[in-house]
Amino acid sequence: MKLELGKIKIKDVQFGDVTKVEGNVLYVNAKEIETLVLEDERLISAKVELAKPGESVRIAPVKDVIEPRVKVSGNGGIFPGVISKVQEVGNGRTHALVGANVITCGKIVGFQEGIIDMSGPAAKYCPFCSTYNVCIVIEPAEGLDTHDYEAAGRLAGLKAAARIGEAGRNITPDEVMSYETKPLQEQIKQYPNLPKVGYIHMLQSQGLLHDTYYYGVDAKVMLPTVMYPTEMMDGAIVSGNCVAPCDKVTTFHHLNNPVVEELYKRHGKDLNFVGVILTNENVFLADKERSSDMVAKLAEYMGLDGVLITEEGYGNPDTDLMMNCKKVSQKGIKVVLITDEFPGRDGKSQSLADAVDEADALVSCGNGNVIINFPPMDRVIGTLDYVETMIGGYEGSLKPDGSIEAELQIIIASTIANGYNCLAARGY
Amino acid sequence: MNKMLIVTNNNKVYEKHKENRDVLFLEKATHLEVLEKTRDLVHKGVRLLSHPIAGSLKPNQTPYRSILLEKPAHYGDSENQMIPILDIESLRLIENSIELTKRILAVKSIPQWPSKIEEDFKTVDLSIIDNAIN
Repeated sequence: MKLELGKIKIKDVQFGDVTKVEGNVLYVNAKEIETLVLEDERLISAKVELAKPGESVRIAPVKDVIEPRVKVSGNGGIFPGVISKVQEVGNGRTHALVGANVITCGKIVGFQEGIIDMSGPAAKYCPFCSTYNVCIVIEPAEGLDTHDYEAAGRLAGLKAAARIGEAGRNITPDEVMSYETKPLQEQIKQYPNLPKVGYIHMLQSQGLLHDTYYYGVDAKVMLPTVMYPTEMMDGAIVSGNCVAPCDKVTTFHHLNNPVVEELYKRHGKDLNFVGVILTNENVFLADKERSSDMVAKLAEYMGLDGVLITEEGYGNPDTDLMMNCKKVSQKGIKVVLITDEFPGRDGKSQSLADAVDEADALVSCGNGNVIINFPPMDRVIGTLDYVETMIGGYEGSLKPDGSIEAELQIIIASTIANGYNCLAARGY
Repeated sequence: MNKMLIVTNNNKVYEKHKENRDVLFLEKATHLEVLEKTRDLVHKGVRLLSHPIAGSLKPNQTPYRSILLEKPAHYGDSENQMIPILDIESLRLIENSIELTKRILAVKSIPQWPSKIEEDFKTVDLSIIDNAIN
C-alpha cells in the first residue's frame, strides 16, 4: 500500500467569503462552517474564531485538534466510517493543510479538556501554539445527554476539518512525501537483511470520554488487528477521547503519528517497517488478557524482531502496556515502550501504575506533574470557567488577573505518550 | 446464576443496576475505601473482573469508583463456608492500585468539587462500568 502525502504549507489563516487556499493562506468562510456544524440538532451554537502563533490568545477547554486533509485519488475518503463511507484508505494521494488545524472547544464535562496558549511561556509545551487554528466553540442543546454531546462535538470537528480540507484538493503541494508498506511477505523480502520492526498502537477504549474509533468502530469492541501505517494518514483512526489533556491523543496525532513517521524515515536504511498492530485498552481484565495475547500472537505471526509500543492515558492502560510488553517479549521479540510519566512534582515516585521485569527499555515523554505558570492573555477562545476543575488545575489555579498556575498536564498534548511533543527525559 | 458483584460509592451505578445486579453500595465510602473493601472481598475469594483503577482519571481527581467482581460459588452462604480460593492476580492488582492511590492522595487530596462536577464524575464512572458490562 502506497500513499503520496502532499503537504500544502499554510502560513496564515483569515476569514473570507469562500473557503479556499491561495498563496499558502487559508481563507475560511465562518458562516459556511457554522451552518455545517449546526446541521446537527444536538448543538445550538457554533462560533468560529481564529488563533495564530504569537497572538495573546488562550484556547480552553479543547476537545479535539484535527488537521484538514482531502483524499485526492485512491479508494475511500477522509475519516472513513465516520465522515466518508466505509472503504479502505491509505492508498493513492492525499493532500494535507500542514500548519492549519481545526480545534473544537467548549465544555463537555467539568473536569476534562485542557488549554492551548498561542504565545508566552506555556506555548512552548504545546505543538499547536505554532499552527494556524480554526477554533469552533460549540454549545449543546439544553438537557442534552453527555454521551450525545461528546458525539456531536466529535463529529462537528471532523466535518469541519473535512470541509476545510477540500480547499486543498486542487492545490499543488509544497512537498510530496511518499510512504509505502507492501504486503507482509513482499515487505520482508524487500529488505531481507534488516531487522523487521512493527509498531503496537494502543487505543484508549474505556467508555465516555475514553474512546477511539477505527473505521467508525468503537475500539473497545474491536479485536487486535493488523493495519498498514498509511491508513492512519487518511483518518482511519479518530479520537473520541478526553483523558488528561497532556496525554490525549487527538485526531491530529493519529493523522501525524510520530512513531510511524520515524519508522518510515529509517525504513530500508537500518530497519524494515513491516506494519502496525492495533489494539485497545479495555476495562475488563479478561479483555486485557485476550487483547494482549492476540497482540503477542500477531507480532510472532508477522515474524517481528522488534516492536515499539505506545499507550494512551494513565493508570489502568499501564496494565495493558505491561501485558503487551511481557507477552511480546516472551515471544523472543525486543520491545521498547514510549510513554509519559506521573512520578509526582518532585519526580521521585514510581512513574507508571504497573510494571513488569520485561519493561527494561522505555522512552519518556516527560513528567505531567510539573508546575508551570501561565501569564494572562488578551483574548480567550472558549472559557476559563473550568480551569480550576480541569485535570492539572486546582483551587486557586486561576488568578483574578487571568493568569494561571497549574500542572503541566493541563496543556493539550504536553506529554503525549507517542512523542509528538516538546519534552524528553534523559538519564544522567 | 448471577455471579457478578458491583462494589461502588456512585449512586448512579447503584440506582441503575440495583434491580438486576448484586450491588454493594458504599454510600459514604471514599474512593480509597471502595478499593480497600474490594481488597477485603478478594481475600474472601472474590475475583476482579474490571481493573480497579479503570479510566484515566487519577485517584485524587474522581471521588467515585465502581469495580466489577466475580463472586465465588459459596459467596454469602453462611451454611457453606468453604475456605476461599485466593486469586493472586486480583490481589496483586488491587494491592497495587491501593498503594498507587495512597501515593497519589499523599501528593494532593481529592478537592471538594462543585455538585455539577461531581455529577459529571458519576456519569463517567457509570459509563465505564456500563461499557464493561455490555
